[in-house]
Amino acid sequence: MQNETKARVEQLTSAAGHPVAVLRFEGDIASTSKDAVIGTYKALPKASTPLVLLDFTKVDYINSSGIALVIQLLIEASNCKQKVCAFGLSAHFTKVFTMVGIPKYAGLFADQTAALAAL
Amino acid sequence: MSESKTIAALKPTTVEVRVPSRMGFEKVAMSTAASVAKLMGFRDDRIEDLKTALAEACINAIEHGNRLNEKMSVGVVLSAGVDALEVKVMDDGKGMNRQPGKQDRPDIDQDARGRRAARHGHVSDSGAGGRSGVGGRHRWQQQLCPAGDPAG
Repeated sequence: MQNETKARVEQLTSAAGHPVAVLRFEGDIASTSKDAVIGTYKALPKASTPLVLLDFTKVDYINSSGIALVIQLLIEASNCKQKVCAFGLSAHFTKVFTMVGIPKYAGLFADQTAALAAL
Repeated sequence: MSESKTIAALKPTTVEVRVPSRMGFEKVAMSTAASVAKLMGFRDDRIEDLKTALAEACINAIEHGNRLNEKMSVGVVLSAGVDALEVKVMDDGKGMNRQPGKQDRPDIDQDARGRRAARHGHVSDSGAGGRSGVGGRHRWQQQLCPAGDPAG
């Protein structure tokens, strides 16, 4: 019933010329998404990846367990001194992410261009 | 039915759906509620609020009420009134065993689950919950035009 979470990593360059790892998610983000969310993040080489972008453009459904995984990712990134931004959330999920305090740990942007400009 | 005639304008209507206690099936309840709310004339952002509140209530019922027992089900009753949609979510289980005085080990997952209730409060208008000997229930109302909403 849940759409499997898919994740892939793309390397881009920020407007300031810094390398950025973009984690592009697809499907649902729920309790079954740990490997896709945390596993994909942990596979990034930390030393050469100071900037991380989370792309939610193709994510239709995120529940509280999915948000817990995103928070876990943000905590691990914070511990590794990485900067994380996210984009592609619907207005509703931007509201929900704001409600649970995620903007304290990750900037939320409408699209990839805006996010890359901020990094 | 013409688009200008909503369900609420015609007469109070009740829709019931029963889903198995399996993660993911909360989306069936979400889709049903979204359809009812759309027919009632809810704005899109209010429908998204309703979907999130209902999904989290169903997940609570599946996970904590029925303890993921797929032989049990979760019932959702959507009662469309004139200016509000009342939602009831019922499980068949006995709920969680709480050990008085025992401190739960804090972790990120528990933290997010705790936030589920708070988030639910932010996306629904009023609510109440309880548990009897035969199962738990959660009930709330989603107003068509919430008080103090300039767009309502």
